[in-house]
Amino acid sequence: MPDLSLFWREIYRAKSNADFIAHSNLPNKKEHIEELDKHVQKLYEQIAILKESSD
Amino acid sequence: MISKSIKNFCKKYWEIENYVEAVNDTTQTWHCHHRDEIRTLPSGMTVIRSAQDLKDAGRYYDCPANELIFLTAAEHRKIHKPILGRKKGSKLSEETKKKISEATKGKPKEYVSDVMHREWSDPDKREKRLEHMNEAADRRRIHTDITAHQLESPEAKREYMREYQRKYRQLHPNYYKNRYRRNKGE
Repeated sequence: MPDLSLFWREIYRAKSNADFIAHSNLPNKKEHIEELDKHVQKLYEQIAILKESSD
Repeated sequence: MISKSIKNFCKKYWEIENYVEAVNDTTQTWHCHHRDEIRTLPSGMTVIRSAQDLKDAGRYYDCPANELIFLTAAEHRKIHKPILGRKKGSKLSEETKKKISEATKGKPKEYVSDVMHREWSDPDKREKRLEHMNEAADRRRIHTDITAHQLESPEAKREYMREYQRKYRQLHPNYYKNRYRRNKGE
């Protein structure tokens, strides 16, 4: 099983940042949240690929 | 009585105003106040500088005695009260709570500072902000990982802090080095 800690870290970072931005009054917050969501999805996909390849 | 750290603020500390009273008073510790922190100009305008501003200007440590004054804790608090605002832990009255809740209805929960609001449109500065936010997220995550250890005894607490720093150092190898440099003013 590959070490996925870095991926989980990135996911946690992106999610918490998105949460902060969502509750703030920053300009263009929707776009930034969408960007972060896409980033998280990509990370989940990468994790799935790595898990499959290790199996 | 006065604090031993006075030597850092002024080498000729015995020349500071109210020194004799402060030293002879055994009932309370007297505070050393930087006059430059709050200064009223002849025009009536009040200029407020933070401790960090004075440090940046090199006027916080090793000051001449005439820039400092010894004050009792209560007097010192009175001077800084308009800046410090509400005391930590003090409870708000029901009326004040209602006023605040009505004023903030329909508004986002977390208001970011004007500076952050301005910088958010600049891509380079936004990236820097996000880096800081990532660091903060890491700190939160490490804390949630370790808080399973109950911090009962001081030894357990010390071990916890060691573990926390070790984990954080793994994520950001240069963080503690940079912080040490920053604190030293290098």
